[in-house]
Amino acid sequence: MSFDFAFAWEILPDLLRGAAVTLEVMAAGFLLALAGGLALALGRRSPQTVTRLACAAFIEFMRNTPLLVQLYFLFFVLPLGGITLPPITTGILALGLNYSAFLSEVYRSGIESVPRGQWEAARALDLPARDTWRRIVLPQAIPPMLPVLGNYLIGMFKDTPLLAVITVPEMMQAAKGVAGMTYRYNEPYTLLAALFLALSLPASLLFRTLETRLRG
Amino acid sequence: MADARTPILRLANVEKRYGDTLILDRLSLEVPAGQRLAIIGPSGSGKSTILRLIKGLEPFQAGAIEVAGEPLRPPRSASWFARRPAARSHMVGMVFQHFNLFPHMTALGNVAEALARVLGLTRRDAEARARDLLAQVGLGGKEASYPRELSGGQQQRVAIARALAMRPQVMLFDEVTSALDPELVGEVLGVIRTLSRESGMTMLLVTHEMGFAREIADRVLFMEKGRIVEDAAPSQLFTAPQSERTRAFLRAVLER
Repeated sequence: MSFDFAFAWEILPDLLRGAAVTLEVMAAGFLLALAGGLALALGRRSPQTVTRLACAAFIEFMRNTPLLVQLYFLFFVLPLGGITLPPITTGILALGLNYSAFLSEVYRSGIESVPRGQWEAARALDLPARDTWRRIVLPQAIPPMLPVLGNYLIGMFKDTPLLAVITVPEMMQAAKGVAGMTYRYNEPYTLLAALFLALSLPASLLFRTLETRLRG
Repeated sequence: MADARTPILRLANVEKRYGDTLILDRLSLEVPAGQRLAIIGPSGSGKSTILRLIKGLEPFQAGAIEVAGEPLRPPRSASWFARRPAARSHMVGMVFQHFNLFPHMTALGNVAEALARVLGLTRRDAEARARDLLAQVGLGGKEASYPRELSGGQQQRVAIARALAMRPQVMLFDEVTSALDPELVGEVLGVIRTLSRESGMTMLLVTHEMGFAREIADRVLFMEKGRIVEDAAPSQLFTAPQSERTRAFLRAVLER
């Protein structure tokens, strides 16, 4: 087995195009998960029983079924109901919804770590609920969540190859394409692994620095 | 509407339980406007709970609380989500034992926050007024300090300024010196003393500082087991208490 650097160099642009799609899907998916996770965490504290139960049910469903199954469902079953989305949108939606369930738990623990006295002080000043969340509770809940959010971001990154099964042209799909056309496997998959490492390692380090900075 | 004879606070047969434990036992109390009322008693007697109910921080099970003649609806549940304050809630300010300053805001930010968000002042006006209030509690120059950079006494004075900012007619002081080092108690009591001299504000003080209660209060309640055991002027209650329980409590506290 030999590694042909010239060939690797030749296919690099294909893989980088895939990497761009991966990053795009991940960025959009994670933003969706951040917003959805917050909405779910707030929904679980709603005074309305229906809202609370619906949010809890959604979270349990997402956490207890495989992402791959959710992907297939969104990609193959939704069109039967008349909803057809482009593969990339479907991928973003699946990653975002799936991770929002996990992030809602991160928000929950962050929110619960804010001392009760903070709520009482806000209440004693008659701050409206909206300002209490936005100005008092969340600014204290979110900083300790950052390291955990970093882990989930990298987790999502490593889940993106699953999107290849619904034809999203991300890195995995690009590597498979090269392999399928040339019957050469060593270079594309080695390159694929190297690219994953090159992208996630800086992110890991960034969050680790952030963590030490926050604790220091 | 409140006329001169309407008490600013009225509690009628208020009952408060935590599970099976009775905290306030059909307690009734009227406080005329401008009165300085000290509430003393052993821990667990329900004295802090009275303040927490008046500010609407907790639900109660029976009875009624009125602020300036308007009933206070107790919060519906333990959930804090989307809860609306009662109509007269803004008339009542509260200072806590553990200060409860917002740690991510400066002293100025702590005082200005509700001025901007609740009273609707512009940031600039809110900060100008916050600056005056900090000066009033002797903290001119500390505007940019974060709570963690201040001593306990200074933090509690910021908390007093923060409560004063809302121009409450009733101030609730919940053991505001209990968490302080002894040498810092004086500066906080000094601020309250000045306030009581210079404003006509109604004050309810739950305190373990008997000397201060005697000096500042027009009226003292001694509470035990969720009931008012004795209700008298300080000169009466501290020198010639009627109840054996009050005598025993004062003996225990003063001989310490």
